[in-house]
Amino acid sequence: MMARPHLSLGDATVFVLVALILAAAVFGNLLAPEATFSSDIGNAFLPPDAQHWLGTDSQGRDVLWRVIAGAAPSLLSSMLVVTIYSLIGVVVATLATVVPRWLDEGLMRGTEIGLALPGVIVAMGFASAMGPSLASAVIAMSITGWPITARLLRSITRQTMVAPYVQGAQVMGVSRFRLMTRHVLPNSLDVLIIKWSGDVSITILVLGGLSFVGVGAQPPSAEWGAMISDARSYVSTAWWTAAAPGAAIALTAVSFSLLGDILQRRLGGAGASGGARS
Amino acid sequence: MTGLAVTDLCKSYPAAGGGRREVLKGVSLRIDKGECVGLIGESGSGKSTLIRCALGLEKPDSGRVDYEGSFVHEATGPDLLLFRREVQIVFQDPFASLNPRMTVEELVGEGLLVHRIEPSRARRRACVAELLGRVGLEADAMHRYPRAFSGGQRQRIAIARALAVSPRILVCDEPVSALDVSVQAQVINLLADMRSALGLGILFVAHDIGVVRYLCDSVLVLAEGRVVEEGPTETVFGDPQHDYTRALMAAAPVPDPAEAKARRALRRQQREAARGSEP
Ligand SMILES: Nc1ncnc2c1ncn2[C@@H]1O[C@H](COP(=O)(O)OP(=O)(O)OP(=O)(O)O)[C@@H](O)[C@H]1O
Ligand SMILES: [Mg+2]
Repeated sequence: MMARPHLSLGDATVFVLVALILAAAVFGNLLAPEATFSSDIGNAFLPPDAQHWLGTDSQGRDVLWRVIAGAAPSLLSSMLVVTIYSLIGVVVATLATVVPRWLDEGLMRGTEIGLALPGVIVAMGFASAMGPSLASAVIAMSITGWPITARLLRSITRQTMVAPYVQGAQVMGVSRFRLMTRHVLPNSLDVLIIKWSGDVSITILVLGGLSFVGVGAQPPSAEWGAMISDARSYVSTAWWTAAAPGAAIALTAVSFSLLGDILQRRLGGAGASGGARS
Repeated sequence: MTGLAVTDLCKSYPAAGGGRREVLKGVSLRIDKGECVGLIGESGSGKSTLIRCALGLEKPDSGRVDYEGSFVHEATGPDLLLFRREVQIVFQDPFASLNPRMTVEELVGEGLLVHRIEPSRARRRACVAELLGRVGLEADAMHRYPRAFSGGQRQRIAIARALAVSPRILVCDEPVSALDVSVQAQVINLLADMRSALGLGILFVAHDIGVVRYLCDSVLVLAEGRVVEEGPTETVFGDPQHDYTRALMAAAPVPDPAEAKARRALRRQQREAARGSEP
């Protein structure tokens, strides 16, 4: 195996944070006490104390548990969005690589149109057509995010296609399918792993923002943007109800962004150039 | 015996300042099975472009390439498959010519798989082991990735990969110029052995006169996209007509000290002539 740089304290911290957030997203809903999802008006707006570390909200629900339970709709939906549009981007870039040049150019013109169409606008359109929900926001973001990925990957496959090992495989007569799946894509996709993490970071902010303005997840949901939206009216009296989900969004966005940087440092260069010298 | 024939090939690329730059201006050559043809020419004279066109990787502007009587650039179905099996290539840089994500077994066995020569995995593995032995590598090399090998070893892997499909013609684009001098001779000898053992036709691109003399029956000199000299190796090198051929011969190391001295004098003369001709 290739020698990897040593794990620094900073990198380790990021890995631990990402692991904790992922654990919250996967197990948070199972572990949270039932009271997290039902109201208990008598205990509303309790400030942080030993029993409710981050206080309670307008319905008397524990804010810390809601933030933990909110990791699933906030983070998993962002990961789903980025995964779907990355896959669409891979398919489009792969097609553009194997079809005749005029069709390749047509596809890339198409992505330019796609680029001009912001996901947020489409999400608002979807919300007014289908009714606002997390699902409509996820669909809107998924089908608008791919053009950048497609163009990035197409520019990389263009370089990979002229690598001697790809030309050698063509001389050997491998099928287009095999050429792409065994030679071109494995040596072109590294950059997407790096981009994926950075994109999750941005998508968390966008999806949170959409919920905040009422276009994404709706109030009883513990989605972080929806929690902030819910807490809007009480910020002056119960600051913790907005600060906790706000901090969760910020921490998650920063963690995934830093994870992207770390992956860039560790993987970058090795596969992107194809000829990985050791 | 028709082999690979290139006729009147022209190829241009878009130039930096607009317009087009003609890289090949009507090149013809042919290689019959069992014959070794050397191709020499300065850097930028179009050797690699000629090879890419001859192998059907790029479409020429005009001219044609035939293999066994069919046009390579129009071939489909069985004709194309035959061409893709019988004509193989070994590139210059063994660090870039082996897919870093495939094991040696996959690399060497790929041709056996895609041409359905050995569809069974176990039989393919035995075949790969035998091929590795033939190029002087241990059979257990097959489980490793190219990055575990030196330049010379990688070039052997590249040769084994090309030979796996029993080609009739092997195109070598400066196969040793990226290697240490000590390793060059081993790879050249391997190619010479394969040639006599398998009756392989070889198109050998090189900068090194000594290698071309040793390996090739005939030689072509390419300059600025044209063949400026061609013929049997000893005829061309015995009485070089073109400046590039002369310069190349003057630059080649000579074992005989007296002759080396004469060559040095010739080189000095040429340098002075060159300096004198500048305004
Ligand atoms: N894809 C391309 N696009 C534009 N110009 C090209 C392309 N390929 C080659 N050229 C140009 O064609 C000319 C000939 O290149 P080629 O690689 O065939 O030379 P060569 O004889 O193989 O040189 P070397 O000995 O350095 O390998 C060069 O000037 C090069 O810049
Ligand atoms: Mg070249």
